[in-house]
Amino acid sequence: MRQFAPHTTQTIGRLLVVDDDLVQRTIIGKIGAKLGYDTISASSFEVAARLLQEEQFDVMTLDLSLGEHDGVELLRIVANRELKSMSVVVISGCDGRIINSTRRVAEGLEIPLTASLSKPLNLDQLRDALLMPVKGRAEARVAKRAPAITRERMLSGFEHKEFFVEFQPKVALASGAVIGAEALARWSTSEFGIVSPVDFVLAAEQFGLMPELTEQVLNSALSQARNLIERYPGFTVAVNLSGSLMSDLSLPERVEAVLHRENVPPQCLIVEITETSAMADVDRAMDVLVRLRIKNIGAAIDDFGTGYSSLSALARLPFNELKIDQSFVKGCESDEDLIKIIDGSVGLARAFNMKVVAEGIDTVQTLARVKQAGCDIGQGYLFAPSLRADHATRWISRRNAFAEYNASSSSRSGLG
Amino acid sequence: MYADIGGKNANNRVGGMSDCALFDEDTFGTLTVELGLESTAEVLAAFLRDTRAKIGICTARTDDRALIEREAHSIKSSAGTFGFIKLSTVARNLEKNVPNLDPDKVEESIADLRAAFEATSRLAQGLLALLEKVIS
Repeated sequence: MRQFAPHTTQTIGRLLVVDDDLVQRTIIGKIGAKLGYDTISASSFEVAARLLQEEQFDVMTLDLSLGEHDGVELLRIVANRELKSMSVVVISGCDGRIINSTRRVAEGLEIPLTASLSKPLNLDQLRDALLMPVKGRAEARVAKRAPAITRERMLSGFEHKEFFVEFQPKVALASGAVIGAEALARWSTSEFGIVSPVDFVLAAEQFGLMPELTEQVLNSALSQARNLIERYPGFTVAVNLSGSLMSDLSLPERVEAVLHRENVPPQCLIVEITETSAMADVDRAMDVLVRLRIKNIGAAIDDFGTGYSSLSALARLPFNELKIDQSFVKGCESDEDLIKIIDGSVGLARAFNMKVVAEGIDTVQTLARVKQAGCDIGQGYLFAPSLRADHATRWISRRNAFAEYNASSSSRSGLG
Repeated sequence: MYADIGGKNANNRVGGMSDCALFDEDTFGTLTVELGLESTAEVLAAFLRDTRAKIGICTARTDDRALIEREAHSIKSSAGTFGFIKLSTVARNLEKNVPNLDPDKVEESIADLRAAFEATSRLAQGLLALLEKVIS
């Protein structure tokens, strides 16, 4: 065990470096100390296990190969001790697939894995990984606590039109044109500021206000997107439906009424239902979905791959769009396992005549890979985050003008 | 900065081993920036002692494939961190191949590793001398 004193006057936390290699743990320990960590290194599984039992650390760097032991055994100790406030940086000279699988093991154990780095170490990446938990803690300190939302406060929010939507563009991967947008619910209040959707959706579920919230979101989405729908033929607006609504057999009529009121053709609306809620009661979901589809409203299965779909149930439900969850898309270009899931999802969607949307495209490398896999549509920060209606309209207008110019240039040069 | 260190050996090919450069000075330069000169000298000296001992263990225990694989894995990573490309590559090949090598080939491969280490060591001694000169 070796201690490295922080090089700064004020320590930024306690770092445990676990590596059986003298050189690696010395380098990591010294970089940690230089960044301001009070650093202790452990050269074996046994020393590390004892330190984790007896002391508290903010960050641990963990080499997966520890002689006769391995780092996953130590991850289990971390999980058993419920050291959930400690960030873990996994470091390994093993191949990328093992590192990726370890990341998934950590997720399964609910251990906050800050980064997984391969050896030889890239020192810039190591420094960033060690500083990330510090930034995270600082952000957590300034983050507001979840506001105490009451039923009355939500009803007042509905009455005063405090709920609105932002639009995240959906891009056709073949042409680059925006062919639709997902409407995401937002709530702006005078006393709490912007309330997290996680908090207000949960509150709406608890207070039985999901039908009212959905109606507000539908109204807002369709009225604000009407000019885009009129301007771009085939443009669709997607709205998320809560699983709790899937047992409401009057839902198709209520959705249709909003479409009439907002004067929007039904084929311009897509309702998104998560895989888990669709599968909760397949018979009811089928009843609702079939009638929505008969009314010419689109239906997308959302977060595909994260639930437990029965393939026969999936075959019976009349979805026309499949959205691959972002957890399979992010970083897929360097993870063969993820690509296999994407390939499988695309194959399944094709077999059932569904369009495929890849969510969470954040880099050009990911974009190239999902295009290669045959996905039709993409969504993600590489294109745009969710945008307020006026900003979204300007963004989509510029993007589509550019896509149109590209298409006409290609056709003029004989490439189209 | 480091191009003249190690004299003629610095980026020559080492006979009988894979065809790659001995040293990547950018990687070493990054290490000196991140660690500082004194700490770099300290870990470099530790690396030389540690690696020599590991190769000694491998030479004495040619029948223990798992041990050789672990030591080669460790040398591969540490050498790579300093930018010692040739040594890292030879160690990586040993780690990958040792489970399936014939017994006489294990000894030959460890000899290759030792040769790569000696070439690296000569270069590293030059780096250490330079670091100590700058520090003093």
